[in-house]
Amino acid sequence: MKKRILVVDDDRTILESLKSILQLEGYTVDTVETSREAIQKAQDQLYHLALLNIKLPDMKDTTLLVKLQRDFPDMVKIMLTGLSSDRTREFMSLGADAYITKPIHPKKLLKVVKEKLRKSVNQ
Amino acid sequence: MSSTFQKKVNQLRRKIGKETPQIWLNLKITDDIKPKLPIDETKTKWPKLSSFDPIIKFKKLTRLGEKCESIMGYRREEFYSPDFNFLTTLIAPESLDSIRERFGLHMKGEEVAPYEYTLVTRKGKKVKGLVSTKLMEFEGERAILGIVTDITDLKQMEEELRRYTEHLEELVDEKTKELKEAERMVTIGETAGMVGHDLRNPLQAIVNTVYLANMKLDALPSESAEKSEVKAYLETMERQVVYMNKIVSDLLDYTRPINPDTIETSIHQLIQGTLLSIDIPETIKISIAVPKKMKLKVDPSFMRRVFINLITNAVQAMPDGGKLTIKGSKKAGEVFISVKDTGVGIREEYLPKIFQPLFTTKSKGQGFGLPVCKRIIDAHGGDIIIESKVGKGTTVNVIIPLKTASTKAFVS
Repeated sequence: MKKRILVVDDDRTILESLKSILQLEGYTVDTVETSREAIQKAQDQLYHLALLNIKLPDMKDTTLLVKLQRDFPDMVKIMLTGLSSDRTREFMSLGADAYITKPIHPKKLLKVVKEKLRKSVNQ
Repeated sequence: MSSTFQKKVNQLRRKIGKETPQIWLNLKITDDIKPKLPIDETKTKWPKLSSFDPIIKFKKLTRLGEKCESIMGYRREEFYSPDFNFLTTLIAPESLDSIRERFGLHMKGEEVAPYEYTLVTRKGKKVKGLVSTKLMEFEGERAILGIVTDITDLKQMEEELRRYTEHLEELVDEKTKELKEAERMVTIGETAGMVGHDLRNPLQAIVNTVYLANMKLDALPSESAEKSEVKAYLETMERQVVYMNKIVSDLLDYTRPINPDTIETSIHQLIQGTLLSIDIPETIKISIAVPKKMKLKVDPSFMRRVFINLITNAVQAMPDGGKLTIKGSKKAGEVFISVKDTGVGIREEYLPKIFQPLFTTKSKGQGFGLPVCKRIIDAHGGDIIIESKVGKGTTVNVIIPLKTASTKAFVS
């Protein structure tokens, strides 16, 4: 079964390019630009993994993660951020599986995605 | 600082509050050169004396205030002796002219405002005096009554206050400078945070797009010269993104607090790993002499940033090639790691400035590399020292204590 990934980012170029990159690796990818749409999508559809940008326009930066963690604890959640301050511990304690600072080379990102998905299956 | 200042002020207050000692001098004047002047009987008006020669001979001191002896160091009978020359004995040479001038004015019947002069004690100590003098009649003769106040302490205090004020001004200047610098760094920090965030998104978009372009090229059926050329272009773009990200990271690192998370780290591995991530031209020969077993308790990601910056600097200093030497050694509880290049070198007058942010001698640089290195090394309780000679090259020595990180390093 193809793994389903949800990408949430308010930067459309990143959104589209990440979608293509993940699709080339064989994942099924949906993209949304806001936290609200992300929650809606997750309720409609099962996602194995979500790539979440930290600063989204419609909610406080931790809210989306907290909500997804509450409702979908099994979903792998990877934070992607351009923020300068290191908030790894904060986001990891709220349930994130990884905290990545942009820019990350797509090869490295794919490696993280693959690893986290494998671990979640093994659990 | 402020407590020292307060102490000083209190001290001065105590001094000023103390009653100042007074010396009373009662001088009898005779002018045996000139005929005696008639003294005004009513004593309300003095005769005009302007026609007289103002050179006066002082007969002697006739009355002395109580403190004269203790302050000046002469006994009462010495003062009163007919041989005692008041002017040459008690008055400092530099004050003689002004005293003569004032006495001359008295002789002309003019009022004299209080003035300062210097007295010399028996032991040769100088005493600053403020004197009020008046011409009067004493035992049927004209005399000058002088009331001298010892203002030595006051003068000293004045001097101290003046010096202190000057020092304060210097201090204020210094603090203002520091404050301005801090303000500037806060502004840079805030701007850097925003710019960093705003730049990292497009950088991500670029690496993603370059990656996709590469994938498309790879999918093309045949190999061609054009294909590998395009791939080379894409590679250049990727490298530039890495460089842009380094600029952003330096900017952010310089402005955010550094709290190293230390762990036993192999320096050899750290340097090897760092070298792999830097594009070093083939014209540069690399020599590494770091013992493989050498371990240090450091934050590997921060130390990596240090070596990335130092090696990048060294490489950029050798545009026409050269030799990059990295050495490691242990001595007296400290580890020394030196990064040496045979490049252009740094001019001596620039050396004091190289750790200041925004200072750069390179056309391609923002002036954050070395300041970041310094902050990181400082946070590890270490030191960074640079030696350089124009045309010969530069050596950067990083010194880190083996027992790292006194608590101080973590706090900073």
